[in-house]
Amino acid sequence: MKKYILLTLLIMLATVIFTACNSEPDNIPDSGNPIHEAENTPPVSDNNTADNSPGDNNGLEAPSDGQTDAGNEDPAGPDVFFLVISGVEINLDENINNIIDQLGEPIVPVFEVQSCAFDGMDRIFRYPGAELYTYPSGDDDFIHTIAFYDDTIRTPEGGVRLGSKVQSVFDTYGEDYELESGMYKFKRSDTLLEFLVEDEMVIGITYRLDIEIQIG
Amino acid sequence: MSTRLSINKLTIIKIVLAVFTFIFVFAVLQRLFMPKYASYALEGNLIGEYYNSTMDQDVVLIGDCEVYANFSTVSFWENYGITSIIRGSPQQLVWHSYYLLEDTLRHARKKPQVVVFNVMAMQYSEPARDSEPYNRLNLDGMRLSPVKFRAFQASHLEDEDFLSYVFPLFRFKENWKELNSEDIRFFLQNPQVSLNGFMVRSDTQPAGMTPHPILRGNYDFGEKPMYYLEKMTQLARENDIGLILIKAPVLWPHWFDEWDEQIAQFAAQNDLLYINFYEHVDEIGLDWEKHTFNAGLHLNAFGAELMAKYLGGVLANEYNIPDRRSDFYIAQHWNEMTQQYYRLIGIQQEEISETGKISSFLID
Repeated sequence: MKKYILLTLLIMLATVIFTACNSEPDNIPDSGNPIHEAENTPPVSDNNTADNSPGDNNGLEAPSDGQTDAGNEDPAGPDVFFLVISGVEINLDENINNIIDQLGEPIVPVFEVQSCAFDGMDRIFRYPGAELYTYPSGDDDFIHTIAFYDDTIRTPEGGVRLGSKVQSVFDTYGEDYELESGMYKFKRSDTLLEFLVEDEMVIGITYRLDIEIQIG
Repeated sequence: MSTRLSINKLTIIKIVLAVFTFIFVFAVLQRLFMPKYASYALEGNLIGEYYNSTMDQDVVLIGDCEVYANFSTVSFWENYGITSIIRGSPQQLVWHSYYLLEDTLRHARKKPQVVVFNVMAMQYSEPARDSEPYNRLNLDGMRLSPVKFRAFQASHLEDEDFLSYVFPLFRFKENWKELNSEDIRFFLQNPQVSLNGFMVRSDTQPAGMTPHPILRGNYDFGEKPMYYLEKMTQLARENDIGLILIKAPVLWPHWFDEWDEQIAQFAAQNDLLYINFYEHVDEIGLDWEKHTFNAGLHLNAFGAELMAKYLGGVLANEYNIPDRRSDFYIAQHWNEMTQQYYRLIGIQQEEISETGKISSFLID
């Protein structure tokens, strides 16, 4: 009888071990967000950083020849989309502490909400012209979305900003985009740059990691 | 001949014993390795807790965190004698909600009179990638049934298989590395984290800066959430249950006017009541300095009390939901729950005065 029980337990053990070798890593809720893969280094862009301080163009229309204060020497363009605020390059999936170190504290207290089911806080940092949305991973927060909220900042490549004409988007980023209900989506690696256009005018600019975040 | 027969019998007995031993050990291991959600992601217990309820409920609230945080089941009782339960869970999508309603009707001995559905998730057409943990928080606690299977079919991600929902051991086996005293303490039963689905948070984090809404190109709800909203409406109608659509009042995430108009239109077409509570914040008495525990995303217990007082009035006056306070057994049950509520609030308030934050969430 003992032999049968022993055999049974051995079969069970083998089953569990076999499954262990063939299954995906666990994805149970933990203290982190699955987006970030533990590395803290932001994606490296090969673009020059540039001062893009607000207020240097009083007209609504940005230059369309690409000769803004942001460099774009590589004709193929950088590997990823990034933003420049006050000379500081801001990359998606970058540790927000890097930004705080260079740009200082946000202009209003950080908007913090506890993640619905996971430990840690989702945070939104407001800097001049844009809000940076972060997700928690370990002890740090990483940027997953950057959204323009006024026309005081521009995209580094072509100086597109809220209120620009849609043609300046095409002049700067070409026509390799996906159009969805007035939203022009450009993709580089796993970063997205989206322009929402209404009546030929840009009314929304958003940088995103190519992931979907749901709240609730 | 008889010797051969007895050998065969003995062999059969041994096989049967071995099978039972296997099943027993498997069940023990599965129970041991399953997360108990006692010190993190407490919301993982919400769906399963429903089955512990032994009472019939007149009102069922269904939806995401905007229901389980924002409506006090205890206050429905205290103010109106209304019996209610919340089938809420984090990031509950509309198809989850539909099947939770089916599941509720399947288990209820007496059907509820009204179902209240929070429409926040209508904006999501598909589950987000990497959202399997949320899928599990919604489905793992559901009892095995054809409804659960259909819920899985409607919501699973590409790499998910139903077997891992039936035998979660295969999913959570790695937990053996992190087994701790909680796994032993809550081996027989997970901790209770809610009062009929209401999670109690009495701390306060006033609303400060509210992010600007990120505009969208398309505000039309997707086909899938619309399909399941229609199914929910149909299911309620077939069972002669009143369906109320609500949008809880939160400052963030933003609820666009375009979405609100679609819900209002759907409600009008289907003769349903739709309440966007954001339009009634002053009437309800909500104060974003006092009644939210995370800057306007969720209400705290005191905000949830106000919400229940307001919605309870609608339920009592417009839907004639009965006052059960004169029923001895029902009253006894709810009065015990009310005591548990105030006991937990008291503990939390003490913690806040001593440490500035709360650490007690479990119902004793």
